[in-house]
Amino acid sequence: MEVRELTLKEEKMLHEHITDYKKRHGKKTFVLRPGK
Amino acid sequence: MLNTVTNEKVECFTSEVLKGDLLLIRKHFSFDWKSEISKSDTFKLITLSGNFIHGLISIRPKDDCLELRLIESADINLGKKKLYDRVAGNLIAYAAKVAIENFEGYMMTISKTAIIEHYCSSYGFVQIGSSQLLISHPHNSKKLVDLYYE
Repeated sequence: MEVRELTLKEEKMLHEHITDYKKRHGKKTFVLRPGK
Repeated sequence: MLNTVTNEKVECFTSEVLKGDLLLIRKHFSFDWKSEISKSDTFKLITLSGNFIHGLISIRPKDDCLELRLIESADINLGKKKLYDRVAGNLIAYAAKVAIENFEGYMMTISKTAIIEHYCSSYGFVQIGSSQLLISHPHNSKKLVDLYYE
């Protein structure tokens, strides 16, 4: 791991990636078993 | 965790790092965790006895996902003569659980270029483009929780 802040370019890239992934795969809701 | 001497599985837990832990942390960890604690949520991996910290992780929210800032195993759990294996995996699985509970399972980290492949093959992260950004998608985070939380 590299401990630093994200650059603006990386922030944008991350946001776009997640937005696009959510569009393609929909909202995910997992229910964890008690104890997990 | 897995005891590398006896090959036995040892139950472990995560709990929040307290100021009183800093002395032990300074002795067995190389990173400046005192500074990290002020910037993010920091958790320790302990066994039932709780008298030793086997690993540390710091996490924080990053927009719509969870950011893994730093993970470190204690000195006794490093290298070929490590006492316990799966320390990092357990800590990443804990982060995955937090990500599932709060961010639909999305978690990310910034990786050093040399270990990108390790994070992808060992923990299922995916590299975003050719950047240093790695992401764990919801299904992978769930898989990590299932693998490490028995």
